[in-house]
Amino acid sequence: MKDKKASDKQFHDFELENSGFSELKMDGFVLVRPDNTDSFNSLALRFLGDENKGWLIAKFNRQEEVLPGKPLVIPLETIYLGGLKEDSYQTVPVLVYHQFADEYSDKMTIRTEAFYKQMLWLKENGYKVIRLDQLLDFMDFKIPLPEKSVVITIDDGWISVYEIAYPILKEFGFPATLFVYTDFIGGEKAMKWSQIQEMAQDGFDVQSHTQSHRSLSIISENEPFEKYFEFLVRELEGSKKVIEDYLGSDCRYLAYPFGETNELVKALVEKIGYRAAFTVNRGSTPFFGNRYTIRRSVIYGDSDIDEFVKNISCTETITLK
Amino acid sequence: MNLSKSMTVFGMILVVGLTGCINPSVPVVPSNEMLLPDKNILSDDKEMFAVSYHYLQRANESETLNDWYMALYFCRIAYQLDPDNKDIESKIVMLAEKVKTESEMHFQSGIDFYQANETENARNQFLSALRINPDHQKAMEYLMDIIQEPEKRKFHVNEKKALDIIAQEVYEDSEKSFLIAYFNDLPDKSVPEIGSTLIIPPVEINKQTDAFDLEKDLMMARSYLESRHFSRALDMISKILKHQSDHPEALQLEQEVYLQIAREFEKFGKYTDALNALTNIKMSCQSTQNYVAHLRQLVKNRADIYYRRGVRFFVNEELEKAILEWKKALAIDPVNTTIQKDIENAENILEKLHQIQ
Repeated sequence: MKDKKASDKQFHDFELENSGFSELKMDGFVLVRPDNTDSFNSLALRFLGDENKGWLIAKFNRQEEVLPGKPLVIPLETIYLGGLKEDSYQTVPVLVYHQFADEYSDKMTIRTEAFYKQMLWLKENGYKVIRLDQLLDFMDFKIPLPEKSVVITIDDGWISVYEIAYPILKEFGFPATLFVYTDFIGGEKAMKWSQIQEMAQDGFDVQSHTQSHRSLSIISENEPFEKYFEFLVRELEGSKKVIEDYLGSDCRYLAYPFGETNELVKALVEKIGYRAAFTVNRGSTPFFGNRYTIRRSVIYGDSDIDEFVKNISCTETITLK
Repeated sequence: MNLSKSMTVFGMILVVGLTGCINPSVPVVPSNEMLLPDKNILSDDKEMFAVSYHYLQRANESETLNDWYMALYFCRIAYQLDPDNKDIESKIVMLAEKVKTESEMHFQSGIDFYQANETENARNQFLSALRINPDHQKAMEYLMDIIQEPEKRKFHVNEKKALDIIAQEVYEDSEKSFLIAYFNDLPDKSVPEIGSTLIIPPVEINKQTDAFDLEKDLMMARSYLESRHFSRALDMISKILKHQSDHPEALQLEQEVYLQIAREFEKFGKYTDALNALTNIKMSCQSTQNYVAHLRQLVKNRADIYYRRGVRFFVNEELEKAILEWKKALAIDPVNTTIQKDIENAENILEKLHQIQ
């Protein structure tokens, strides 16, 4: 069997050599004749340095799958930025979850079965779950995204994230971002740092939801302004440092507690070095959205799959002539 | 296998395959007949030409959609695979010019809308400019910095002034100088250099309001409870109960907050404080009542230590010492009627003894 494979390969190489080309690097693109071991993702890794860009080669060549022997053009220039079309632009929905449980308990808790169905719907309908870094690179007009891109975030750091959501997300191969508030971690109903570290090693992103989860946007009655400002700095710098110390990776994104912010908080978040921050204002984000008030849609425990689907909007119609 | 024959078949598959991919609803006939390839395209040695032809068609298709940028990119691919084709060469020149002029036209139109305060139209024009020419830096700058972000407040230092003077000018509050120092990486009492520009962060902050939003207030109460900000949680709950005094979830949360406060007191041995916290609960369930009974027992046990000591003094006829110990016991368990009566009794005896003496 092994010998037959070797002889097949020799014949294949001979055929490629004698049929003009197997790979031609030109200015701005590569012309490649794929063989039966190639996939869009393997070609993307080889020529674009990122296997997640397989969709780009598929889209550019208008093919659903690699056809061995049929030449493909691999674009080396950055195209499809912003998902701009004549009649629309691309938007990316960012979903927010909180707690998970086998049975319905309250609005902020998603049933295991419902969550599984939602993830299955995303997969079966061709959605790509992307990371926050990809979303922000898209917003910086540096990279294009698959037309059906979606981000999954989970707030607070409840133990049910580790027990219920984590295995389901792993099963689907979906990355997610955990926005944790650091005072909560290690508590009775919260994840432990060791569990968060395990998830981080598995490719999950861990970012800040502040230290105490007190609303950042409101100054209390009789609270001196200077004390309020110290509180803001402590919440933003402190949580960032704790996460970075525990995980040894950059903490660059923030989810505002209760989704609330104000102009001073936004300025401070930027000053402290966060790349972007997220609210809970429902809606999807275009590349030109404000980086410090990125919209997110909360998925509630009492919503069915139709309600869920309403949050997945990846395009905004417009006349761009 | 006859290689030459297989190559011919490959060439045919290639052309059929490539042209077959084109969306049938879009016209694929090149606008310039001169660009049509030679009929000998199917010959073995013209594979590149076939690919070139395919991308030329894609360029024409993009052109009909006014997507000049992609049309230009497709043409450049076509030209590199068929470098002797002067028609493609001149088409590239035409498309490059088109990209430039069309994107500039949209950009200028965007500026006009912007100056007329029609920001949505302006935004659309800048987006059009970027669709046609993603490298149009000015369109990007207008889109990102001018329309989306409120212009950051700046202060140009024209004369020697300390930060507190500047804070007084911009905020009418010299004590906010620390804020300017923080945002500009300056020492608190510094005097910025003449000619420098300072960032002035906004300070318009909302005071806590009484605006009622049941869902949100409940969520905040729950969250404050989880993060053990008990007083903030109670503020939220009392706000809800002020509007709906019998709201079951708010009452449930209130019970949970006081239970947690009581547990905190219990941890430090402050059983009476724990019991006091529980008296605030409006809606008490069986488990709370059990917890109250448990705390009462703890209080009684602790009071008993002093009570027994008092009894020993009493038996030894050291009444003053006995009263002292019992008072300690009563301080711990102020509702204990046995201790109250024993103190009363001992004090009466003591008084009678004093009278006899």
